[in-house]
Amino acid sequence: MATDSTVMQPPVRDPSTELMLRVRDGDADAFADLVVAWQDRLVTLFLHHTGDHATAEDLAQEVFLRVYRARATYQPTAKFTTWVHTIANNVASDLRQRAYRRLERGVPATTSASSSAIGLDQLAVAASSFLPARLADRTELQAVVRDAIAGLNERQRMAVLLAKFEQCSYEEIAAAMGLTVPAVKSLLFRARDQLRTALEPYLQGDVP
Amino acid sequence: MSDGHAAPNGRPDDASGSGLPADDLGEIWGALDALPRASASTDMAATTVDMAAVTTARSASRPTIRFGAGRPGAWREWLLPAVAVAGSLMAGIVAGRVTAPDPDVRILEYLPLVRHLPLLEEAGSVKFLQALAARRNQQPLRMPPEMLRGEEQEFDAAVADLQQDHALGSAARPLVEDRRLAIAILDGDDRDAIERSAAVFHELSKAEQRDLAAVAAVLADPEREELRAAARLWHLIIAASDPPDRKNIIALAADERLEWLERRSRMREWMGERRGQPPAGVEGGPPRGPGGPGGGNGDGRPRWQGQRGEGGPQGPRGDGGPQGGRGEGRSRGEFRSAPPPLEPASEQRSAKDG
Repeated sequence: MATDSTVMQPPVRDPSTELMLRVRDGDADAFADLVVAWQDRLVTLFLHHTGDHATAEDLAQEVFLRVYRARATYQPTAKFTTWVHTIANNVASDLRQRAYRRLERGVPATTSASSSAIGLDQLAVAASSFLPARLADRTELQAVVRDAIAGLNERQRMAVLLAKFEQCSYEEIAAAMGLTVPAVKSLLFRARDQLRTALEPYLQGDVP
Repeated sequence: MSDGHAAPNGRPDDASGSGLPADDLGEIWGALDALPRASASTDMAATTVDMAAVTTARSASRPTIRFGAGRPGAWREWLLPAVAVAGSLMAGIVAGRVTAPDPDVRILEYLPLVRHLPLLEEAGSVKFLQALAARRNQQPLRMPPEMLRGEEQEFDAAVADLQQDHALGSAARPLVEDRRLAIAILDGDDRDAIERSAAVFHELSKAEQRDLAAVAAVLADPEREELRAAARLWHLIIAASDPPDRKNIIALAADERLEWLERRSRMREWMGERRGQPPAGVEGGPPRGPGGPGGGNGDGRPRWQGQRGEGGPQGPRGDGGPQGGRGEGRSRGEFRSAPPPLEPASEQRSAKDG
């Protein structure tokens, strides 16, 4: 009975979900494997979200620690990938709120491990000041694109980065960011317009 | 979403016609290739695992009691009392579970309101937002662009969060479990902040709670763009004010807030005209007194815009109170319909509560 055998098969899970289930069951090695498997991806995501590598590592580490703390509550009802993206989005959002609270207390924002979007904006402005009006080399293009990304609001930036670097679909971005699919489309639509405006001089030629 | 990093190539629209981000981002998608992929430092994995281990060790390092470590047979002496105590404890726990709510419930129940309590208190009431939306030409004070952008992002993120919760509330998803998970992944500081906020929220009167819930509902309602815009504008106005003034301004009732705005508008208009030519029909001179509360610059500008006139950044408090706003200290008798000075915020809160 092919049908019966199909029904009886355990659900196919992605490798990260399998690792997370082992972490939940107390397998320390599985947690190390999970960190190794995900660290570059998260650091990349946060690097382009915050513009600072040290901050990106701190945030990635915070994601892993939250995953670890919440391991007992993990249920494989959704892909681990979606879950970790949700946590990453929360961590990025919390960073902004912390920066806001620090601003409220009159503590100046820094560009250190706890830098904020405001600090990044300042960095972006500083970075843009040395850019010539021509497309010179890839390093400059990186700076231009980084500047343009920094000009997006936090949600637009996260949606764009999830789409680009994590290959997320609209549905997956919506699940990770706690938005509806139309809201994500709207976010990306506005982000595209803003990026297009910022990158217009560079998009006229061939973009490497 | 794939676990790999392969770039999508020529992805066609799917059957539902929803497309993919790569398609909709168009030429921007290619430009984003300029952003490099990053690598974690070599010790990051080890450090992370160590930190997680420390977390585990802390929770496991509670002192343990070794029963029966004393003389042989001693266990018989405490067995019956221990059973009795354990039985009582179990009965208490069961009774507690039945009669007492889950400690998280009071947070979970109002999580969206608790999480965004400062923003909702700042907006105040739907009545105020409606009145503000009906006004024209209200502008926040000038702010550094990065600060303005940060404030806008802050507001938009909070509204998006409220909208998300609004959407979840109308769907059949297990909302409470979503919220429980959202709390579970918070770190200690954030959870403490949420708990403090929950405590504050539950100390509010039912009427105040209803007001805040109504504000949250209109902010989340896609059909109420005009009220959302009003709340956004108010958020920026508050953000541009001096930190010492904010609580006082937010504590004002809706009518008092409008009075404050009215006075502020007239002052700004008057000062704008003064820069060009003296305004006609305005008696009295310019506001020469020290700035409003917090010692603003005395010219209606926040402190970070530099000093001008009297009442520098650390200047004495003027007599303007929250109505005068930062640096908008009014001269007595300058305006015909100037409202009376405000009481301290704490007294106003008491009056409102009363």
